[in-house]
Amino acid sequence: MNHNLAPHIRTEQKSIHMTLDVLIAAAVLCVFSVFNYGIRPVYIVLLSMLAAIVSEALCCLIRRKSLRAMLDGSAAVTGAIIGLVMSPMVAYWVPMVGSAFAIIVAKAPFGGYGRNVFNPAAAGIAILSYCTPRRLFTYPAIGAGMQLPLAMEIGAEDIAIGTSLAAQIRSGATPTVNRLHLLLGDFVGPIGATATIILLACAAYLIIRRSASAWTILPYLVTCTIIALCTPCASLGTLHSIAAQLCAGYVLFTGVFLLNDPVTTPRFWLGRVIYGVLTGALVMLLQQVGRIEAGSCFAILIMNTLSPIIDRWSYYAWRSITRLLRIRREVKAHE
Amino acid sequence: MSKRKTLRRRFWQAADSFVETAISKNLVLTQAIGICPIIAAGVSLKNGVALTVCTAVVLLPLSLLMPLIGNRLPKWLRPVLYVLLAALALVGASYLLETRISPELYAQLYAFIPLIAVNMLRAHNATMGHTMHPLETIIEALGSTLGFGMVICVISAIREVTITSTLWGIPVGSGYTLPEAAAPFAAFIMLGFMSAMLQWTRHRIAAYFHKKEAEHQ
Repeated sequence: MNHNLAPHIRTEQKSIHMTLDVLIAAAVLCVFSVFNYGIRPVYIVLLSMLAAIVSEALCCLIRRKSLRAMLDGSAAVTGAIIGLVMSPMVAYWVPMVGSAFAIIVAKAPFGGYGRNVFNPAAAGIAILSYCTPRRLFTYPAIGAGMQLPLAMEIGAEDIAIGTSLAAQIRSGATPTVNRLHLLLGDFVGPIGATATIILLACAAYLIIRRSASAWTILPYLVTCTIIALCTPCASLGTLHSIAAQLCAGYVLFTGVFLLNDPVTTPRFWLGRVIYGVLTGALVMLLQQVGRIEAGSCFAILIMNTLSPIIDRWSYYAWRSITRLLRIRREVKAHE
Repeated sequence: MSKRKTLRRRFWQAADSFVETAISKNLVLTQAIGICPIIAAGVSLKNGVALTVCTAVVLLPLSLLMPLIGNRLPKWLRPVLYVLLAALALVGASYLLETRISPELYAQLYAFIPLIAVNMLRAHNATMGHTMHPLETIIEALGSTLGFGMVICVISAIREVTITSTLWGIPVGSGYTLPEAAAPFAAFIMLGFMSAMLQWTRHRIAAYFHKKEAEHQ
Protein backbone atom coordinates (compact mmCIF):
# COMPACT_ATOMS: atom_id res chain seq x y z
CA MET A 1 0.00 0.00 0.00
CA ASN A 2 1.21 3.47 -0.78
CA HIS A 3 1.72 5.27 2.52
CA ASN A 4 1.28 8.60 0.71
CA LEU A 5 -2.44 7.92 0.67
CA ALA A 6 -2.83 8.20 4.40
CA PRO A 7 -4.36 11.44 5.62
CA HIS A 8 -2.16 13.97 7.25
CA ILE A 9 -0.87 11.79 10.03
CA ARG A 10 2.66 12.50 11.02
CA THR A 11 4.47 11.92 14.22
CA GLU A 12 5.79 14.97 15.99
CA GLN A 13 9.31 13.86 15.23
CA LYS A 14 8.67 13.91 11.52
CA SER A 15 6.91 17.26 11.37
CA ILE A 16 9.57 19.00 13.45
CA HIS A 17 12.21 17.63 11.09
CA MET A 18 10.34 19.06 8.13
CA THR A 19 9.88 22.48 9.67
CA LEU A 20 13.52 22.54 10.76
CA ASP A 21 14.61 21.81 7.20
CA VAL A 22 12.49 24.63 5.83
CA LEU A 23 13.82 26.97 8.53
CA ILE A 24 17.41 26.07 7.61
CA ALA A 25 16.66 26.87 3.97
CA ALA A 26 15.08 30.16 5.01
CA ALA A 27 18.13 30.99 7.16
CA VAL A 28 20.43 30.52 4.17
CA LEU A 29 18.32 32.95 2.14
CA CYS A 30 18.45 35.42 5.04
CA VAL A 31 22.23 35.23 5.16
CA PHE A 32 22.36 35.89 1.43
CA SER A 33 20.17 38.97 1.79
CA VAL A 34 22.55 40.39 4.43
CA PHE A 35 25.18 40.74 1.69
CA ASN A 36 22.72 42.68 -0.46
CA TYR A 37 20.92 44.91 2.01
CA GLY A 38 22.62 44.80 5.39
CA ILE A 39 21.05 43.45 8.59
CA ARG A 40 17.54 44.90 8.09
CA PRO A 41 16.07 41.87 6.19
CA VAL A 42 17.05 39.58 9.07
CA TYR A 43 15.11 41.77 11.49
CA ILE A 44 12.12 41.68 9.15
CA VAL A 45 12.13 37.87 8.98
CA LEU A 46 12.71 37.47 12.72
CA LEU A 47 9.92 39.88 13.64
CA SER A 48 7.59 38.14 11.23
CA MET A 49 8.40 34.79 12.86
CA LEU A 50 7.93 36.30 16.30
CA ALA A 51 4.50 37.64 15.36
CA ALA A 52 3.49 34.24 14.01
CA ILE A 53 4.66 32.42 17.14
CA VAL A 54 2.93 34.89 19.47
CA SER A 55 -0.32 34.60 17.49
CA GLU A 56 -0.09 30.82 17.60
CA ALA A 57 0.41 30.93 21.36
CA LEU A 58 -2.59 33.26 21.68
CA CYS A 59 -4.74 30.90 19.62
CA CYS A 60 -3.59 27.96 21.74
CA LEU A 61 -4.58 29.87 24.88
CA ILE A 62 -7.98 30.80 23.47
CA ARG A 63 -8.67 27.23 22.44
CA ARG A 64 -7.39 26.04 25.82
CA LYS A 65 -4.84 23.79 24.18
CA SER A 66 -1.50 23.05 25.69
CA LEU A 67 1.29 25.26 24.40
CA ARG A 68 3.12 22.06 23.56
CA ALA A 69 0.93 21.85 20.44
CA MET A 70 2.96 24.65 18.90
CA LEU A 71 6.29 22.91 19.33
CA ASP A 72 6.09 21.57 15.78
CA GLY A 73 7.43 24.91 14.55
CA SER A 74 4.87 25.35 11.80
CA ALA A 75 4.09 28.89 12.96
CA ALA A 76 7.76 29.85 12.69
CA VAL A 77 7.84 28.49 9.14
CA THR A 78 4.77 30.52 8.21
CA GLY A 79 6.35 33.66 9.65
CA ALA A 80 9.66 33.01 7.91
CA ILE A 81 8.02 32.51 4.51
CA ILE A 82 6.01 35.70 4.88
CA GLY A 83 9.13 37.60 5.96
CA LEU A 84 11.13 36.32 3.00
CA VAL A 85 8.78 37.68 0.34
CA MET A 86 8.72 41.18 1.83
CA SER A 87 10.52 44.07 0.22
CA PRO A 88 13.77 44.81 2.11
CA MET A 89 12.55 48.35 2.86
CA VAL A 90 9.10 47.39 4.12
CA ALA A 91 7.99 48.78 7.49
CA TYR A 92 8.46 46.24 10.27
CA TRP A 93 4.77 46.04 11.14
CA VAL A 94 3.70 44.89 7.68
CA PRO A 95 5.04 41.29 7.84
CA MET A 96 3.92 41.09 11.48
CA VAL A 97 0.34 41.91 10.49
CA GLY A 98 0.56 39.37 7.68
CA SER A 99 1.83 36.63 9.99
CA ALA A 100 -0.80 37.36 12.60
CA PHE A 101 -3.50 37.23 9.93
CA ALA A 102 -2.12 33.98 8.57
CA ILE A 103 -2.25 32.28 11.95
CA ILE A 104 -5.40 33.83 13.42
CA VAL A 105 -7.62 33.76 10.32
CA ALA A 106 -6.22 31.14 7.95
CA LYS A 107 -4.93 28.52 10.35
CA ALA A 108 -6.32 28.45 13.88
CA PRO A 109 -10.08 28.61 13.10
CA PHE A 110 -9.78 25.51 10.92
CA GLY A 111 -8.24 23.55 13.77
CA GLY A 112 -4.53 24.32 13.59
CA TYR A 113 -1.65 22.52 11.95
CA GLY A 114 -2.69 19.52 9.89
CA ARG A 115 -6.28 20.67 9.47
CA ASN A 116 -5.91 24.00 7.69
CA VAL A 117 -7.57 24.16 4.27
CA PHE A 118 -5.43 27.00 2.99
CA ASN A 119 -1.72 27.53 3.14
CA PRO A 120 -1.44 30.11 5.96
CA ALA A 121 1.65 31.78 4.52
CA ALA A 122 -0.03 32.20 1.13
CA ALA A 123 -3.08 33.71 2.84
CA GLY A 124 -0.89 36.17 4.76
CA ILE A 125 0.99 37.22 1.63
CA ALA A 126 -2.25 37.53 -0.31
CA ILE A 127 -3.87 39.84 2.22
CA LEU A 128 -0.75 42.03 2.40
CA SER A 129 -0.38 42.26 -1.36
CA TYR A 130 -4.04 43.16 -1.67
CA CYS A 131 -4.12 45.73 1.14
CA THR A 132 -0.67 47.36 0.95
CA PRO A 133 0.63 46.74 -2.57
CA ARG A 134 2.68 49.93 -2.58
CA ARG A 135 4.63 48.96 0.53
CA LEU A 136 5.12 45.40 -0.62
CA PHE A 137 6.19 46.04 -4.19
CA THR A 138 8.47 49.06 -3.74
CA TYR A 139 11.99 47.70 -3.78
CA PRO A 140 15.28 49.49 -3.14
CA ALA A 141 17.76 49.64 -5.99
CA ILE A 142 20.51 47.13 -5.46
CA GLY A 143 24.17 48.03 -5.01
CA ALA A 144 27.25 46.29 -3.68
CA GLY A 145 27.56 46.39 0.08
CA MET A 146 24.45 48.50 0.61
CA GLN A 147 23.29 49.04 4.19
CA LEU A 148 19.61 49.85 4.54
CA PRO A 149 18.79 52.08 7.52
CA LEU A 150 17.12 50.28 10.44
CA ALA A 151 14.36 52.86 10.89
CA MET A 152 10.76 51.66 11.25
CA GLU A 153 9.73 53.15 7.92
CA ILE A 154 11.95 53.95 4.97
CA GLY A 155 10.48 56.52 2.63
CA ALA A 156 10.94 56.50 -1.11
CA GLU A 157 12.94 59.73 -0.81
CA ASP A 158 15.52 58.23 1.59
CA ILE A 159 17.03 55.69 -0.77
CA ALA A 160 17.16 54.91 -4.47
CA ILE A 161 14.16 52.91 -5.71
CA GLY A 162 14.57 50.22 -8.33
CA THR A 163 12.09 48.62 -10.73
CA SER A 164 11.66 44.95 -9.97
CA LEU A 165 12.06 42.28 -12.62
CA ALA A 166 8.39 41.29 -12.39
CA ALA A 167 7.30 44.90 -12.97
CA GLN A 168 9.63 45.18 -15.95
CA ILE A 169 8.21 42.03 -17.54
CA ARG A 170 4.62 43.04 -16.82
CA SER A 171 5.06 46.43 -18.43
CA GLY A 172 6.41 44.77 -21.57
CA ALA A 173 9.85 46.37 -21.22
CA THR A 174 12.99 44.38 -21.88
CA PRO A 175 14.46 43.19 -18.54
CA THR A 176 17.78 44.88 -17.90
CA VAL A 177 19.28 42.09 -15.77
CA ASN A 178 21.92 39.97 -17.44
CA ARG A 179 22.17 36.19 -17.14
CA LEU A 180 24.90 36.04 -14.53
CA HIS A 181 23.05 38.45 -12.26
CA LEU A 182 19.87 36.42 -12.71
CA LEU A 183 21.69 33.34 -11.53
CA LEU A 184 23.41 35.05 -8.61
CA GLY A 185 20.31 36.92 -7.49
CA ASP A 186 21.90 40.30 -8.03
CA PHE A 187 18.73 42.13 -9.07
CA VAL A 188 15.90 44.16 -7.55
CA GLY A 189 13.28 42.08 -5.78
CA PRO A 190 12.02 40.64 -2.48
CA ILE A 191 14.35 39.59 0.37
CA GLY A 192 14.49 35.89 -0.32
CA ALA A 193 12.91 35.37 -3.71
CA THR A 194 15.71 36.61 -5.93
CA ALA A 195 18.58 34.29 -5.03
CA THR A 196 18.03 31.82 -7.88
CA ILE A 197 20.95 29.52 -7.28
CA ILE A 198 20.33 29.37 -3.52
CA LEU A 199 16.64 28.69 -4.08
CA LEU A 200 17.53 25.81 -6.39
CA ALA A 201 19.97 24.51 -3.79
CA CYS A 202 17.24 24.80 -1.12
CA ALA A 203 14.88 22.83 -3.37
CA ALA A 204 17.50 20.11 -3.81
CA TYR A 205 18.16 20.03 -0.06
CA LEU A 206 14.47 19.76 0.79
CA ILE A 207 13.92 17.03 -1.79
CA ILE A 208 16.94 15.02 -0.60
CA ARG A 209 15.80 15.36 3.01
CA ARG A 210 12.31 14.28 1.87
CA SER A 211 10.81 17.46 3.29
CA ALA A 212 9.57 18.37 -0.16
CA SER A 213 8.38 16.25 -3.00
CA ALA A 214 9.99 16.25 -6.43
CA TRP A 215 6.60 15.14 -7.77
CA THR A 216 5.30 18.66 -7.15
CA ILE A 217 8.35 20.84 -7.75
CA LEU A 218 9.49 19.38 -11.07
CA PRO A 219 6.08 19.46 -12.86
CA TYR A 220 5.60 22.99 -11.53
CA LEU A 221 8.95 24.18 -12.89
CA VAL A 222 8.47 22.38 -16.22
CA THR A 223 5.04 23.98 -16.69
CA CYS A 224 6.39 27.42 -15.83
CA THR A 225 9.26 26.90 -18.29
CA ILE A 226 6.93 25.82 -21.10
CA ILE A 227 4.65 28.82 -20.54
CA ALA A 228 7.66 31.14 -20.37
CA LEU A 229 8.83 29.62 -23.65
CA CYS A 230 5.47 30.39 -25.25
CA THR A 231 5.43 34.01 -24.05
CA PRO A 232 8.96 35.30 -24.68
CA CYS A 233 10.19 38.71 -23.56
CA ALA A 234 10.91 41.12 -26.38
CA SER A 235 14.51 41.22 -27.71
CA LEU A 236 15.95 38.60 -25.36
CA GLY A 237 17.40 35.21 -26.19
CA THR A 238 15.15 32.22 -25.52
CA LEU A 239 17.09 30.96 -22.53
CA HIS A 240 17.52 34.43 -21.05
CA SER A 241 13.82 35.16 -21.46
CA ILE A 242 12.82 31.92 -19.73
CA ALA A 243 15.26 32.54 -16.88
CA ALA A 244 14.02 36.09 -16.43
CA GLN A 245 10.40 34.98 -16.22
CA LEU A 246 11.17 32.18 -13.78
CA CYS A 247 13.14 34.53 -11.51
CA ALA A 248 10.56 37.33 -11.63
CA GLY A 249 8.26 37.86 -8.67
CA TYR A 250 7.70 34.84 -6.45
CA VAL A 251 7.65 32.15 -9.18
CA LEU A 252 10.66 30.14 -8.07
CA PHE A 253 10.09 30.92 -4.38
CA THR A 254 6.52 29.61 -4.66
CA GLY A 255 7.80 26.36 -6.12
CA VAL A 256 10.27 25.80 -3.30
CA PHE A 257 8.46 27.07 -0.21
CA LEU A 258 4.73 27.57 -0.76
CA LEU A 259 4.03 24.57 -2.96
CA ASN A 260 5.43 22.05 -0.50
CA ASP A 261 3.22 22.67 2.48
CA PRO A 262 2.63 19.07 3.63
CA VAL A 263 -0.92 19.80 4.78
CA THR A 264 -2.51 21.43 1.75
CA THR A 265 -0.91 19.51 -1.11
CA PRO A 266 -2.25 16.19 -2.43
CA ARG A 267 -0.63 13.06 -1.01
CA PHE A 268 -0.85 10.74 -4.01
CA TRP A 269 2.02 11.14 -6.50
CA LEU A 270 -0.23 11.58 -9.55
CA GLY A 271 -2.27 14.16 -7.64
CA ARG A 272 0.94 15.97 -6.81
CA VAL A 273 1.95 16.06 -10.47
CA ILE A 274 -1.44 17.45 -11.52
CA TYR A 275 -1.35 19.95 -8.65
CA GLY A 276 2.11 21.14 -9.69
CA VAL A 277 1.15 21.52 -13.34
CA LEU A 278 -2.07 23.42 -12.63
CA THR A 279 -0.39 25.68 -10.07
CA GLY A 280 2.41 26.46 -12.51
CA ALA A 281 -0.06 27.43 -15.21
CA LEU A 282 -2.08 29.58 -12.82
CA VAL A 283 1.01 31.28 -11.37
CA MET A 284 2.30 32.25 -14.79
CA LEU A 285 -1.15 33.48 -15.81
CA LEU A 286 -1.57 35.63 -12.70
CA GLN A 287 1.98 36.89 -13.03
CA GLN A 288 1.07 38.47 -16.34
CA VAL A 289 -2.59 39.47 -16.18
CA GLY A 290 -3.45 39.99 -12.52
CA ARG A 291 -3.90 43.34 -10.81
CA ILE A 292 -1.17 42.50 -8.33
CA GLU A 293 2.47 42.22 -9.29
CA ALA A 294 3.07 38.82 -7.74
CA GLY A 295 -0.06 36.70 -7.98
CA SER A 296 1.41 33.35 -7.06
CA CYS A 297 -0.03 33.37 -3.54
CA PHE A 298 -3.51 33.67 -5.04
CA ALA A 299 -2.74 30.76 -7.35
CA ILE A 300 -1.75 28.68 -4.32
CA LEU A 301 -4.93 29.63 -2.47
CA ILE A 302 -7.12 28.72 -5.45
CA MET A 303 -5.34 25.41 -5.91
CA ASN A 304 -5.61 24.61 -2.19
CA THR A 305 -9.39 24.48 -2.55
CA LEU A 306 -9.05 21.97 -5.40
CA SER A 307 -6.33 19.90 -3.77
CA PRO A 308 -8.55 17.28 -2.01
CA ILE A 309 -10.54 16.68 -5.21
CA ILE A 310 -7.36 16.35 -7.27
CA ASP A 311 -5.99 13.91 -4.71
CA ARG A 312 -9.08 11.70 -4.69
CA TRP A 313 -9.76 11.72 -8.43
CA SER A 314 -6.16 11.09 -9.40
CA TYR A 315 -6.07 8.14 -7.01
CA TYR A 316 -9.27 6.64 -8.43
CA ALA A 317 -8.10 7.28 -12.00
CA TRP A 318 -4.76 5.59 -11.32
CA ARG A 319 -6.42 2.65 -9.60
CA SER A 320 -8.85 2.06 -12.47
CA ILE A 321 -6.09 2.31 -15.06
CA THR A 322 -3.87 -0.20 -13.26
CA ARG A 323 -6.81 -2.53 -12.74
CA LEU A 324 -7.75 -2.40 -16.41
CA LEU A 325 -4.16 -3.10 -17.41
CA ARG A 326 -3.98 -6.01 -15.01
CA ILE A 327 -7.20 -7.51 -16.32
CA ARG A 328 -5.98 -7.16 -19.89
CA ARG A 329 -2.74 -8.83 -19.00
CA GLU A 330 -4.53 -11.69 -17.29
CA VAL A 331 -6.90 -12.17 -20.23
CA LYS A 332 -3.95 -12.28 -22.61
CA ALA A 333 -2.15 -14.79 -20.43
CA HIS A 334 -5.31 -16.90 -20.32
CA GLU A 335 -5.58 -16.90 -24.08
CA MET B 1 -58.23 24.95 30.83
CA SER B 2 -57.29 22.73 27.90
CA LYS B 3 -57.91 25.60 25.50
CA ARG B 4 -55.54 27.70 27.54
CA LYS B 5 -52.95 24.96 27.44
CA THR B 6 -53.21 24.64 23.69
CA LEU B 7 -52.83 28.38 23.32
CA ARG B 8 -49.79 28.37 25.53
CA ARG B 9 -48.28 25.51 23.57
CA ARG B 10 -49.00 27.30 20.30
CA PHE B 11 -47.36 30.45 21.64
CA TRP B 12 -44.20 28.59 22.62
CA GLN B 13 -44.13 26.82 19.29
CA ALA B 14 -44.32 30.17 17.52
CA ALA B 15 -41.61 31.66 19.72
CA ASP B 16 -39.50 28.59 19.08
CA SER B 17 -39.81 28.86 15.31
CA PHE B 18 -39.11 32.60 15.48
CA VAL B 19 -35.89 32.12 17.44
CA GLU B 20 -34.93 29.22 15.23
CA THR B 21 -35.24 31.14 11.97
CA ALA B 22 -33.73 34.29 13.41
CA ILE B 23 -30.76 32.89 15.26
CA SER B 24 -30.07 29.20 15.55
CA LYS B 25 -31.00 28.30 11.96
CA ASN B 26 -30.15 31.70 10.54
CA LEU B 27 -30.46 31.39 6.76
CA VAL B 28 -27.43 33.55 6.05
CA LEU B 29 -25.11 31.87 8.49
CA THR B 30 -26.19 28.25 8.11
CA GLN B 31 -27.19 28.02 4.44
CA ALA B 32 -25.37 31.02 2.94
CA ILE B 33 -28.60 32.36 1.45
CA GLY B 34 -28.62 36.07 0.68
CA ILE B 35 -24.91 36.66 1.13
CA CYS B 36 -24.58 38.52 -2.17
CA PRO B 37 -26.21 41.78 -1.01
CA ILE B 38 -24.24 41.55 2.25
CA ILE B 39 -20.89 41.20 0.52
CA ALA B 40 -21.46 43.70 -2.25
CA ALA B 41 -23.66 46.35 -0.66
CA GLY B 42 -23.12 45.94 3.08
CA VAL B 43 -20.48 48.64 3.40
CA SER B 44 -22.41 51.13 5.52
CA LEU B 45 -25.07 50.82 8.18
CA LYS B 46 -27.55 52.84 6.10
CA ASN B 47 -27.26 50.33 3.26
CA GLY B 48 -27.72 47.50 5.71
CA VAL B 49 -30.89 48.94 7.21
CA ALA B 50 -32.28 49.80 3.76
CA LEU B 51 -31.72 46.25 2.54
CA THR B 52 -33.34 44.84 5.68
CA VAL B 53 -36.38 47.03 5.13
CA CYS B 54 -36.58 45.90 1.50
CA THR B 55 -36.44 42.28 2.61
CA ALA B 56 -39.23 42.87 5.11
CA VAL B 57 -41.36 44.63 2.49
CA VAL B 58 -41.06 41.65 0.18
CA LEU B 59 -41.18 38.82 2.61
CA LEU B 60 -44.02 39.79 4.94
CA PRO B 61 -46.86 40.28 2.40
CA LEU B 62 -45.76 37.31 0.36
CA SER B 63 -45.62 34.98 3.33
CA LEU B 64 -49.17 36.05 4.12
CA LEU B 65 -50.31 35.60 0.55
CA MET B 66 -48.69 32.34 -0.46
CA PRO B 67 -50.36 30.04 2.12
CA LEU B 68 -53.71 31.49 1.07
CA ILE B 69 -53.41 31.01 -2.69
CA GLY B 70 -50.38 28.75 -3.06
CA ASN B 71 -52.24 25.49 -2.49
CA ARG B 72 -54.76 26.18 -5.19
CA LEU B 73 -52.08 26.58 -7.82
CA PRO B 74 -50.24 23.83 -9.69
CA LYS B 75 -46.82 23.12 -8.28
CA TRP B 76 -44.83 24.45 -11.25
CA LEU B 77 -46.59 27.80 -11.13
CA ARG B 78 -45.78 28.53 -7.47
CA PRO B 79 -42.14 29.63 -7.83
CA VAL B 80 -42.95 31.66 -10.94
CA LEU B 81 -45.74 33.48 -9.20
CA TYR B 82 -43.60 33.91 -6.11
CA VAL B 83 -40.80 35.62 -8.00
CA LEU B 84 -43.25 37.78 -9.94
CA LEU B 85 -44.98 38.94 -6.78
CA ALA B 86 -41.65 39.52 -5.06
CA ALA B 87 -40.49 41.63 -7.98
CA LEU B 88 -43.74 43.56 -7.84
CA ALA B 89 -43.30 44.23 -4.13
CA LEU B 90 -39.72 45.29 -4.75
CA VAL B 91 -40.82 47.80 -7.38
CA GLY B 92 -42.93 49.41 -4.68
CA ALA B 93 -40.10 49.21 -2.17
CA SER B 94 -37.57 50.78 -4.49
CA TYR B 95 -40.02 53.51 -5.47
CA LEU B 96 -40.45 54.34 -1.78
CA LEU B 97 -36.68 54.26 -1.29
CA GLU B 98 -36.04 56.61 -4.17
CA THR B 99 -38.76 59.17 -3.59
CA ARG B 100 -39.23 59.17 0.17
CA ILE B 101 -35.97 58.05 1.75
CA SER B 102 -32.91 58.93 -0.28
CA PRO B 103 -32.18 58.92 -4.03
CA GLU B 104 -28.45 58.51 -3.31
CA LEU B 105 -29.07 55.35 -1.32
CA TYR B 106 -31.24 54.04 -4.14
CA ALA B 107 -28.49 54.78 -6.66
CA GLN B 108 -26.10 52.73 -4.52
CA LEU B 109 -28.42 49.82 -3.99
CA TYR B 110 -30.58 49.46 -7.09
CA ALA B 111 -28.51 46.60 -8.49
CA PHE B 112 -28.85 44.52 -5.34
CA ILE B 113 -32.54 44.95 -4.59
CA PRO B 114 -33.75 42.51 -7.29
CA LEU B 115 -31.32 39.93 -5.89
CA ILE B 116 -33.34 39.88 -2.70
CA ALA B 117 -36.37 38.60 -4.60
CA VAL B 118 -34.49 35.57 -5.89
CA ASN B 119 -32.79 35.01 -2.55
CA MET B 120 -36.08 34.98 -0.75
CA LEU B 121 -37.39 32.43 -3.22
CA ARG B 122 -34.64 30.11 -2.02
CA ALA B 123 -35.41 31.09 1.55
CA HIS B 124 -39.02 30.06 1.32
CA ASN B 125 -38.60 27.19 -1.06
CA ALA B 126 -38.96 24.69 1.72
CA THR B 127 -42.16 26.05 3.21
CA MET B 128 -43.97 26.87 -0.01
CA GLY B 129 -45.20 23.41 -0.84
CA HIS B 130 -46.65 22.66 2.59
CA THR B 131 -49.94 23.66 4.02
CA MET B 132 -49.13 26.10 6.75
CA HIS B 133 -51.13 28.55 8.70
CA PRO B 134 -50.55 32.14 7.51
CA LEU B 135 -49.65 33.05 11.09
CA GLU B 136 -46.90 30.45 11.15
CA THR B 137 -45.43 31.62 7.85
CA ILE B 138 -45.52 35.23 8.94
CA ILE B 139 -43.65 34.38 12.13
CA GLU B 140 -41.06 32.56 10.06
CA ALA B 141 -40.85 35.49 7.68
CA LEU B 142 -40.33 37.87 10.61
CA GLY B 143 -37.65 35.58 11.99
CA SER B 144 -35.75 35.32 8.74
CA THR B 145 -35.98 39.06 8.15
CA LEU B 146 -34.59 39.65 11.63
CA GLY B 147 -31.83 37.10 11.06
CA PHE B 148 -30.82 38.61 7.73
CA GLY B 149 -31.07 42.12 9.17
CA MET B 150 -28.89 41.30 12.18
CA VAL B 151 -26.14 39.79 10.07
CA ILE B 152 -26.11 42.54 7.46
CA CYS B 153 -26.32 45.31 10.07
CA VAL B 154 -23.43 43.92 12.13
CA ILE B 155 -21.24 43.39 9.09
CA SER B 156 -22.05 46.71 7.46
CA ALA B 157 -21.55 48.59 10.73
CA ILE B 158 -18.12 47.03 11.29
CA ARG B 159 -17.18 47.71 7.69
CA GLU B 160 -18.38 51.32 7.85
CA VAL B 161 -16.32 51.98 10.97
CA THR B 162 -13.29 50.38 9.33
CA ILE B 163 -13.64 52.02 5.94
CA THR B 164 -14.62 55.59 6.78
CA SER B 165 -14.38 55.71 10.59
CA THR B 166 -18.04 56.74 10.79
CA LEU B 167 -21.25 55.05 11.93
CA TRP B 168 -24.50 56.10 10.26
CA GLY B 169 -22.54 59.08 8.93
CA ILE B 170 -21.43 60.21 12.42
CA PRO B 171 -17.65 60.21 13.00
CA VAL B 172 -16.56 57.60 15.54
CA GLY B 173 -13.36 55.80 16.34
CA SER B 174 -9.77 56.92 16.07
CA GLY B 175 -9.95 58.22 12.52
CA TYR B 176 -7.67 55.45 11.28
CA THR B 177 -9.23 53.97 8.16
CA LEU B 178 -8.67 50.84 6.14
CA PRO B 179 -10.41 51.28 2.76
CA GLU B 180 -9.62 47.69 1.77
CA ALA B 181 -12.39 46.47 4.09
CA ALA B 182 -14.82 47.39 1.30
CA ALA B 183 -13.43 44.49 -0.74
CA PRO B 184 -15.55 41.32 -0.79
CA PHE B 185 -12.98 39.24 1.09
CA ALA B 186 -13.52 41.23 4.30
CA ALA B 187 -17.22 40.38 4.33
CA PHE B 188 -16.48 36.76 3.52
CA ILE B 189 -14.06 36.49 6.43
CA MET B 190 -16.54 38.16 8.80
CA LEU B 191 -19.35 35.87 7.62
CA GLY B 192 -17.08 32.89 8.15
CA PHE B 193 -16.24 33.92 11.67
CA MET B 194 -19.89 34.67 12.53
CA SER B 195 -20.96 31.32 11.12
CA ALA B 196 -18.27 29.51 13.07
CA MET B 197 -19.27 31.42 16.21
CA LEU B 198 -22.90 30.36 15.76
CA GLN B 199 -21.91 26.72 15.31
CA TRP B 200 -19.69 26.88 18.38
CA THR B 201 -22.45 28.42 20.51
CA ARG B 202 -24.95 25.82 19.33
CA HIS B 203 -22.55 23.03 20.17
CA ARG B 204 -21.89 24.49 23.61
CA ILE B 205 -25.60 24.83 24.36
CA ALA B 206 -26.32 21.32 23.12
CA ALA B 207 -23.48 19.94 25.23
CA TYR B 208 -24.81 21.80 28.29
CA PHE B 209 -28.30 20.33 27.94
CA HIS B 210 -26.89 16.91 27.22
CA LYS B 211 -24.92 17.07 30.44
CA LYS B 212 -27.94 18.25 32.42
CA GLU B 213 -30.05 15.43 31.04
CA ALA B 214 -27.41 12.92 31.97
CA GLU B 215 -27.31 14.34 35.50
CA HIS B 216 -31.10 13.97 35.87
CA GLN B 217 -30.95 10.35 34.86
